[in-house]
Amino acid sequence: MKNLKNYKDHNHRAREKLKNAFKFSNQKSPLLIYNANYWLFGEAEDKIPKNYFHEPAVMLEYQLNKITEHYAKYPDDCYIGFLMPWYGTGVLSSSFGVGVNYPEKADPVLDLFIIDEPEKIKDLKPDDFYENPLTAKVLKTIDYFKENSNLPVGVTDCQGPLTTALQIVGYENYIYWMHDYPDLIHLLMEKVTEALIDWVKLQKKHAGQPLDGEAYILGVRIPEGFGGVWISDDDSVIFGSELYREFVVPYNSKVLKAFGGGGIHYCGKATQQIDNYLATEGLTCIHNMMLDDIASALKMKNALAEKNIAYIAGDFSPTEDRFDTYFKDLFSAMDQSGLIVSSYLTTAVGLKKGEYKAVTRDQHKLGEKTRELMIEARDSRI
Amino acid sequence: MDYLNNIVEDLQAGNAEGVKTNVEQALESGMSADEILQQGMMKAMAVVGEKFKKDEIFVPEVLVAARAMKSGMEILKPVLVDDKVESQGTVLLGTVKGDLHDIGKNLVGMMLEGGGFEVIDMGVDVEAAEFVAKLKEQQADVLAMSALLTTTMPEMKNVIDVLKEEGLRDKVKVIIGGAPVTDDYAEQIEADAYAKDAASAVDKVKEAVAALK
Repeated sequence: MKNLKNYKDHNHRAREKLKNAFKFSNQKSPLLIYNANYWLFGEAEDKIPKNYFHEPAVMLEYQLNKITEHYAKYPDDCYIGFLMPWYGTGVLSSSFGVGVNYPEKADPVLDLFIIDEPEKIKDLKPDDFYENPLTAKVLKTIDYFKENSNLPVGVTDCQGPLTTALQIVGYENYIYWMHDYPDLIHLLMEKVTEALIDWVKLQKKHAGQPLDGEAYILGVRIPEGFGGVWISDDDSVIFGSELYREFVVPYNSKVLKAFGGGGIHYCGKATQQIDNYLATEGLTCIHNMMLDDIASALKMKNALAEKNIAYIAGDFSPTEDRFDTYFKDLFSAMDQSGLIVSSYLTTAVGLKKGEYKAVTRDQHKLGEKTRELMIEARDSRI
Repeated sequence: MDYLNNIVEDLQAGNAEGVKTNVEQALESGMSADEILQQGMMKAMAVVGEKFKKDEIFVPEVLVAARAMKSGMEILKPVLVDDKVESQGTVLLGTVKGDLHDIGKNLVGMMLEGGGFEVIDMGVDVEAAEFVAKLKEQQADVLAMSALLTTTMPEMKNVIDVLKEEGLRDKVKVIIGGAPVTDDYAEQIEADAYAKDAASAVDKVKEAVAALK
C-alpha cells in the first residue's frame, strides 16, 4: 500500500476556493500549478518511465511521485491529488474496434478509423468493457490504484461523443455523411453517447465515486454540486455553430445530465460555439487550453459568466520570451469572478505564439517561476 | 440560364450534383472549359477560401465545397486537356513517413485543385525515396508535405536532406504544414514556406510557383 500523507488542510482549502469560484463568489482566482501531468506529452524523455502503459505499478509510482512533489512544492495552490488511469484519448473508440498503438516514450496513438460505409453504422456496437483489452486494462488499473493507495481515483481520459465518433468513422466521412446521411450520423452519435455514459458509470463504480461528483477536468477538481463528469471536445473548434448545434449539443447535454452536470474541455478558439455551450444542459464549467489567445478566451469567459458557468483558463507553460507577460496579460484582461487559472508545467514543450515549440527546461525552476508570476499577476489585479 | 452563378452558389453550398449538372449544361451551351473553371469554380473556391480565413465558415463547409469542386472537375478536366488549357503548376502532396493523418492534406489538395493546380496526391506514410522518385518522374513545381505529430515532423527534414543529396533541392519548392509545424520549423529545416491552413497553402503555392518562373 502506497499511502500519501494526509493533505486534508490543503485539499479542504483548495475545495473551498474552487467551490467559491464555481459559485462566482470568489475575489481571487484559484490557481493551479500543474506538475502532475498524467500524460507524457511535454515530459522530458529521460523522465518517462518504461512500461508506463503496461504495468499499473509503474503508472502508480510515477503519478504518486509527481503528486507528492506537488504537495511539497506548491502547498498553497488548488490542485487536489488524484490518480488517473491514463491510456490515451482512444479508450472508448477502441471498444468499437479502433486500434491503439503504443509508441516508445510517447502517449498511445490511434489507428485510422474503422467504418468506411455509412450503412455500417447500423451494426456498430461497443465490446463488453470487461472483454475489450483496453477498457479491461483501464478497469484493472483503477482496481490496482484503489487497492494500493489511499488517493482518489479519477476516470480515464474522457473524449466526448463528437471526438469519439470522429475516431470511429474518420473526419472526412463524418463531415460528408452529416451532409448526405444526417440520420445515420445521429444514430452514430446516439450509440457513442450511450456507450460513453455506460463506460463512465462503470469506471466510477470501480473507483468508488458517486455519479454526480469527483470529476477532475484535466486535473482540476469540479467541486461537489457542480457535476460528476467531464468531456473533451477539441473538435468543436473546427465546426461551425449550426452543424455543432444539430449534431453535437444534444449529445453533450445527455452525457452531462447523466452525471448531474459537468465540464467540457477544448483547446484553442471556439468562440463560434458560445451560444451552443450556453445551450448545453448541465454545463457548469469550460476548461480551455486557449493557446495564449487571451482575446478569444475573454470573449468566452464573459459569455459563460452570464449563466454562471465557470471558466478554467489552462495552458502549457509559455516559452521564455513570453513568460513574464503571459499571466499579467491574462489577469489584466479578465474579471476573476468565476475564473480558475491552471498552468501545466512542461519541460520539453513550450507555448509560443499559439503553437508548441520544443524546449529544454528545469521543472522545479519553471514551477517556482510560474507560482511567483501567477500570484503576483493575480494579486495585483484585485 | 446563368450557369456560372449557379456553379458559384452550388459549389459554396457543397451541392456536388448541382455543380456537376451546371458544368455539363454550361459546356453543352458552348461555354469554354477555361471560362467555367475561372469564372465559376475557381471564383467560388476563392470565396470559400476567404470566408474560411475570416472564420465565417469552418472545415466541414470547406470540405463539402471542395468535394463539389472535385465533381465538377471530373467533367471539366478532359475538356481542359483537349483545349490545352495550362494548369497553374504541379504539386506533389503527401503526409510523411510514419504519419497516417490525412484530413489536412486532403483539404490542401482539394483547395489547390480549386486554385487551378494539378495535384498528385501520394497519400499518407510516404517515404522520402517515394517522394524523390515521383518528383523525378513528374517534375513537379512544388512538394507539399504534411505531418500531424511531433514525432513524425522530423521526417520532413529527412526528405529535404534526401532532395539535396539527389541534387533536386533547387528544382522544387518545398512547403510544409500540419498542427505541430511552425514558421520557425520551416526555416530551421530549410523548407521554402510554412502554410498554417489549407487556404493559405494555396497562397504559398502560388508564390512558390511564381518564384520559379
